[in-house]
Amino acid sequence: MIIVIEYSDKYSTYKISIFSLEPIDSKMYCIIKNNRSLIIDPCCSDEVFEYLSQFSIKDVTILLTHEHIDHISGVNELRSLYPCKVICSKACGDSIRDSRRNLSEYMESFLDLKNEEWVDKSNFKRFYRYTCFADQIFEEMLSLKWENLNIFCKELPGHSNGSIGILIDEKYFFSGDSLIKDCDTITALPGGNRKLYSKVTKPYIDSLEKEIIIFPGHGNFFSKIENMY
Amino acid sequence: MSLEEKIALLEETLEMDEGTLSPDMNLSDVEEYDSVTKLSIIVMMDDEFGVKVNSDMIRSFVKVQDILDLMQ
Repeated sequence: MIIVIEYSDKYSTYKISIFSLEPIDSKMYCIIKNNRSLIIDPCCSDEVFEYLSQFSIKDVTILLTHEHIDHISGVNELRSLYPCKVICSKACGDSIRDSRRNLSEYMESFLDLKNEEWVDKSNFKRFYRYTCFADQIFEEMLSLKWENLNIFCKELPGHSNGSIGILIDEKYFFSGDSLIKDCDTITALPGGNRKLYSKVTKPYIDSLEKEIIIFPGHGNFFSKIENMY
Repeated sequence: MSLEEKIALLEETLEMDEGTLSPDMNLSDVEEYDSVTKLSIIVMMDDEFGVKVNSDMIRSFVKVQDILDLMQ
């Protein structure tokens, strides 16, 4: 399913298209402007590639909120189709090269353990021992410009070593799995750290303006103020 | 690794306070033992002990001791 949100600044209008990777509703976000694409957490699905094929895409900038397989599964397929630049934190860049650190080695067991009959694991079987690589890594924070959008990336450890938050034009925050509506942030996975989440990540998220719209790694987008009560 | 060290590692993996787990505890009584921490146990076993644990093995665990027995 594709959901499109329109966003206008003083220069132009952008559309944020949202895709979901089943069976755990991992979210991918895509903006296309002037035949260029900005993708956050690419998922590997035919729907995504069919959507992109409608445009004459000349390059793709990929931002990864963190290293887990359900947020990186589309990287290699996108690289085979378009010139791509993958950007993430150094810790994430290290982990996506290792199928144990990005959890692709264990995903089938994890889905099995969820013990829900409706879970179709076949989508993840093809990602067993999946690895990919980054083109640009950073530590602490990174500011970049894409078209007219001002993008600020900040390391937000807790859910995983390599987690970051991505703030666009100080209005839209792509939280990865560091903030999901009505869910406690998971810090028990390998590389997770509850203390760092409380010390670094939560205070940063709390400091964001309450009008900000959150685009999480799973589930629907929501306004920060909506999550405060 | 001593028994105490194994229990401490398991508590850390389950994000539990030190001294809260004991070998004879039923896993069904451990609130933190869910699908996410089961995955963490699978990874910990692989990383720390080179033991490959699958979902069927996890399902067969009844007591904390069942996990400790594999930590070698």
